[in-house]
Parts: sequence; C-alpha cells; structure tokens
Amino acid sequence: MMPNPVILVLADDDKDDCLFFKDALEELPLTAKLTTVHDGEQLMKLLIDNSVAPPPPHVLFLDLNMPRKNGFEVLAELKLDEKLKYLPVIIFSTSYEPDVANLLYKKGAQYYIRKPADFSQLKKVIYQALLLATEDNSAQPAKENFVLKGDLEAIPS
Amino acid sequence: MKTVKMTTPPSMVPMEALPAIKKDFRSVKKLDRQVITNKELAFQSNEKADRIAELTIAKKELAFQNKEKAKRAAELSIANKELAFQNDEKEKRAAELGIANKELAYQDGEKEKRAAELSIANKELAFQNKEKEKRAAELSIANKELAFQNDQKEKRAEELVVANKELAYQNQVKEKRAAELVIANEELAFQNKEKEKRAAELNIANIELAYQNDEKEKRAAELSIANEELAFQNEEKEKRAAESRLANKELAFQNKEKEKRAAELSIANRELAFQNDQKEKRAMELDIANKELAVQNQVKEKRAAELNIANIELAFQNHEKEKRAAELNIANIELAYQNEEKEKRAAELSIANEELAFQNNEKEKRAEELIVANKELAFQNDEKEKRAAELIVANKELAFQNNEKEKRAEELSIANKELLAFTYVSSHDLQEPLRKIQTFVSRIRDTESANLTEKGKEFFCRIQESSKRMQTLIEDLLAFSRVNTAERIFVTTDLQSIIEEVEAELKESIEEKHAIVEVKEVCPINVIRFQFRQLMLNLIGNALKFSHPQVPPRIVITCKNQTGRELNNEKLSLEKKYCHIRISDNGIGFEPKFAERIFEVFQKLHDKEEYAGTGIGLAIVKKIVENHNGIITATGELHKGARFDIYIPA
Repeated sequence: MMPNPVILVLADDDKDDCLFFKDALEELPLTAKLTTVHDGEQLMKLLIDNSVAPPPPHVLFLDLNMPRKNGFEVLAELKLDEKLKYLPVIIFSTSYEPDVANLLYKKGAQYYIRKPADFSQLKKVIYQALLLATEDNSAQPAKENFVLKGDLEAIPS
Repeated sequence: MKTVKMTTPPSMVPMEALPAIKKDFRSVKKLDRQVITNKELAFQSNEKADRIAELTIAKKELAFQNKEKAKRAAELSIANKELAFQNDEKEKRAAELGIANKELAYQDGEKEKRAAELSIANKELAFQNKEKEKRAAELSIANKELAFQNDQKEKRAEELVVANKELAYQNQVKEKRAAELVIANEELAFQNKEKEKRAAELNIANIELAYQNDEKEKRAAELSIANEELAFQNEEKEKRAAESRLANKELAFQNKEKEKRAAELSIANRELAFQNDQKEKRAMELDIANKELAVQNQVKEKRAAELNIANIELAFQNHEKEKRAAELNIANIELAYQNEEKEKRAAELSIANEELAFQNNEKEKRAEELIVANKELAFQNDEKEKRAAELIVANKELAFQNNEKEKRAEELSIANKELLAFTYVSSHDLQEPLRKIQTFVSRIRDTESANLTEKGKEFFCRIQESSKRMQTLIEDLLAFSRVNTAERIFVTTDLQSIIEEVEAELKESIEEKHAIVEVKEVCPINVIRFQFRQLMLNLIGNALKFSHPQVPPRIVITCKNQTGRELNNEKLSLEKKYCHIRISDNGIGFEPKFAERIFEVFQKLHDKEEYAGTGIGLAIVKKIVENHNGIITATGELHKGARFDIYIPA
C-alpha cells in the first residue's frame, strides 16, 4: 500500500522538468509531499538534515546530469550511508544508454525512467514507479524490469 | 586668266625710265582684260546653246517617262488589288497560326518545365555521381598511396633487413677473420717464442760449443805442451841414448883398451909368467889380482849388459814414445778435424740462425702486414659501423616518419572520434529541449484544445509529428555514433540469444503484423554483442517495416561457417573461414540497382509518409559489419523480398 502522504524528493536542475513532474504528480490519485532540489549538493544536505529531522522520504527521483554533484556521485554516496542506502532511488533521465543503465543497476539504483515526451505517459510512469517503489518488499527488481516504460492499463481515478 | 609677271630684275633698268614703263604696263594690262572678257562671253554663249539643246532632249525624255509612269501606275493598281486579296488571306492564316503557336508555346513551356526538371534531376544525379566518383577516386588514390607507402616501407625495411643481415654476416666474417688473425698472431707469437727459445738454446749450444772448443783448444794446447815435453823427453832420451852410446863406445873403447891392456897384460903376463915364473909368487898374486880383475870385468860386463838392456829398454821406450807421439798426432788431426766439423756446424748454425733471423724478420714483416691488414679491417669495420650507424639513423628517420604518420593517423582518428563524440554529445543534448517541446505540445493538446481553432489543433499535430520525426532522427544518429565510438569487446555468443532479445524488443510489431521469424541454422559467433544486437534489430526491424501490407512477413535467418571458396564473393579470401549470416524476407524488396545505395547514410527509397525512417538504419548495419571486419551484401527484387548476406571472419 502506498503511504499517505507519500513523501518524495526530486533532484533535477531543469525547471521545466520539475514543473512537469509537479503537475503530473498533482493529477495522480494520491497524496504526495514533494521536495525539489536542483543539484546533488543540495540533495545530500537535505537528505542528511532529513535523517536528523524526520520524516525521511519514501522515494528519490534522481536526474543524472546535474551541477555541483551529479546523479552518479549521489547514488554512490547514498549506497555508502548506513541509513540512506535503503532509500529507493529512481533514475530520472532524458537519455537512455544501455551501458549507463547497466552501470546504474549495478550501483544499486531501483528503477530507471527515461523522461517521456508525452505528458500522459509521464503521469503513467511516475505512478508506476511510485507503486513499485513503495511496495513492502522493495528489493531491486530483475534487470529486465529495471527500465520503467509506464506500461499500465490505466491510472485509477 | 593670265597674269603678267615682272621678268626683268629692277636693278637692270635705269631709275629715270621707271615712270614711262609704268604707264605702258598699265595700258597693256587694260587691253589684256578686254580680250579676256570677250573670250569669256563667247564661251558663255556657246555653253548656253549647248544647254538649250540638252534641255530639249531632257524634255523629250521626261515626256517619255511620264508615259511610262502612267502605264506603270495602271499596272500597280492591278497589282495592289491582288495584294489586298493576298493580305486578307494571310491575315486569316496568321490568325490560324497564332492559335497553333499558342498551343505550341504552351507545349514548349510544358516541355521546358519538364526538361528543366529533368536537367535539374540530371545535374543532381551527375553531381552525385561526380561526387561519388571523386570520392572513389580520392579513396582509390589514397589507397594506392597508402599501398605504395606501405610497399616502399616494406621494401626499405626488407632492404634494411638485408643490409643488416649482410652487415651482420660481414661482421661475422670479420670477427672470424679477426679471430683467425688473433689465432695466427698467437701462433706467430708462439712460433717467435719457440724460435727465441731455440735461438736461446742454439746460443747456449754455441756457448757450450765455444766452451768445448776452448776446452779442446786448451787440451790441444796441453797435448801440444805434453808433446813438446815428450819431444823434449825424447830428445833428452836420445841425448841420453847418445850419451849411453858414447858411454858404450867408451866402455867398448875401455873394453878394447882393457883387451888391449889384457893383451898387454897377457904380454905382460907372459912376461910376467916369465916374471911369474919368476915371480910365481908374484904371479900368484897377480893371478889373484887377475882373478880380481876378471871379477871386476865380469862386474863391468854385467854392467855393460845392464847398460845394453837399459839401452834396449830406452829404444823400446823411444819407440813407444814415437808411437804415442804418432797417436797424439793422429788425435791432434782428429781434434783438428773435429774442430773443423764444429766450425762447420757453428757456421751452419750461424746460417740457420741467420735464416731464423730472416724468418723472424719475415714473420715480423708479415705480422706488420697483418697489423696493417688488421688496421684496414678495423677501418672497414669502422666504415661498416658508420654505415650501420647511418642505417640506424635512416631507420630512426623512417621510424620517425612512421611515427609521424601514425601520429597523424592518430590525430585524424582523434579528430574523427572528436567529431563522432561531438555528434554524439550534440545529439544527446538535443534530446532534452526536443522532449520538452513535445511535452508542452502534449499538454496543450490534452488540456487547452478546447481553446484552439481547428487550424490551431492541426498545427499542433504537425508540430508533434515533426518533433517525433526529429526524435527518431536523433536516436538513430546516437545509435550510429555509438557504433563508432563505443568500446569494442568481442565475445563468443550464439545468434539465437541475440535474435530472442530482438524479438522481445519488436514484439508489438511482430504480433501486429503476424510475422514469423524463423531461425533455421545457428552457430557460435565472435562479435561485439551490443553492436550485433543493434544490427539484428535494424535488419529484422526493416524486414517488418518493408513488408507487403497484405502478406504476413516471414523472416528466415541462417548462420553457418563456410570458407571463402564456398561463398563465391570476390571480396572474400578463398582460404579464410567466415561466419555467413543470411537474413531474407518476403517483403516489398527493392530494385537491384539500389543494392549498394541503400547502405549509404540518409539514403531512402520511399517517402516518409509511405515508410517512416531516417535512412540511417542500414548505414549502422554496414558500419557494424565493418567493425567486425566483415562485408555485407544486399540482394533484392522489387515486390519479391530482400536478402542480406553478412560475412564476418569466423
């Protein structure tokens, strides 16, 4: 069951993408508390402060190409942190490179979303990611299920 | 008109005559003028008569001409009427021609348009052909040049190798010879030592001989002294023998004297006998005295005998001494002979020494020659080392040039990579703004369409289509540059697993078109796996895309190892083994003339409304095959299907 509200952090330096994400989230049938940061350093600061002052986020959506500290560095740091290493990390990137995706899977990312061009598709894939990542048993999926396509029948209204 | 000239110079006329002459001169002038005027008037009268006659003739001619003109005017009138009729006819015909011309002009316009279009198309084709030929020629030249450079390098490398071998051989020979010379030198040194030893021995032998000679001379001297002594002793003995003989003679004489005395005594005896008779007593005494004398004689005789024996002995001794002297003489002769022999031998030894010295000289000479030869060899070695050094320098230079070329090749490679990386990065970065445009458009379509006119909606649809197409183009470009830049790791894998992955990826399209993908034969292949996956994806994807609308696609894939000989393709080496992968379909195929062109980037045979695509897919396929050092051929027949044959080294 999805927590209510589901607490999310989005790390993305692109303001348009942040807007799309926020709008998509608002149109989904769930209650969410979204915090947005625009670079890796801000993100780490937030997560570490959060670990002192709850509530910690349920899911992190992480862009790869960010200023100051990129998504790869963030992922590596999170996986070394005793408390933060269990935070599901969903890669949220414009591009898709098989090699890069393989590497991220190895480093422990939970899912990989290639930002869709279609807004309704964006909603679907965010919803799918939240459903999967907030399941009780949120272990890393099999590799062939690593990349999310938003292939849902429909979003319940 | 005549003019009177002053012909007399003024100086010839006296001054007082001048006024009279002037007066005369004026009257003459006046006369002259009248004559002239008269003549002129006569001439004018003549001219006028002539002109009147001419005018009469001209008037007659004009009258004739006027008549002619009246005739001609009548004729012209008739002709004009005829012309007017003809002009009417012509205008009619001109009108007809005008219509025909317009039609022709229209047709020409059409033809020109078409010709212009054809001309443009031809020019374009010609330009493309030229470009291709140029590029082919450039490539051919570049290949030839490279081949030539490689040849030159190989030649030069071979020459250098040969030269090196020769040098090595010469060095070996020289080292051998040097070693032989060293041995020869050592031998010579050994022989010299031996000779020196022998010379030393000979020297010692000479010294010994000299010593022996000395000794012999000493002994000879001693023997000579001994001989002299013996001679002296002999002389002494002879003297003594002579003295003995004298003594003997004296004794004999004494004996004779005694005999004489004995005779005298006998006489005396007789006398004495008488006297004896007389003196018997005294005789008796005398007898006793005689007896005593006899004893004395006997003693003396004994002594003579002894002396005689001593003489005999002396003679014997003399004889012995003579013998010994003769023997000594012989020994002397022998010694002299031996001395001579020794001298001879010494002379021989001296000669032998000289010869040895000569030989030593010769050997020294030869040693010098050998030293010279050694120096020359050393010089030659130096020269060869120099040349070797030069060759090394030349080699270094070649190596340097090679390095430079490699550097340049590397630089070009780097530049190429940079270019590809640029393509990659730019394509990569283009994705983001494009995606955002698409997202915004999708949001307008979803939420704002009520506020849009139909036209506005249509324009947004067009934006979306163009964006989608641009997205595909960028993705294909990315795939193309990825094929060029990504790491190439060859692994041995089986084609079946790759095909299964591709089938999974194309699942929707396969199901939608009811396609059958049939894998008939498979064998292990050694490939860059992700690239080969892309290759199979593109080829199977193409087979699905270019299928007959009514016929379910059937794609047949085979894979087997074959030798170049079995494969019958001139680009393959006969003896080499190849993995031959064939993908054939029953789609729309293509005209055989496009078999090469379909592999070029952005080459398409269909317009994008009919069959979507960017014209990059087969270029990627070809690039991947080339990355595997293989070749790909396409065979097609319009409406019957296409077949792709891939040959990669097994």
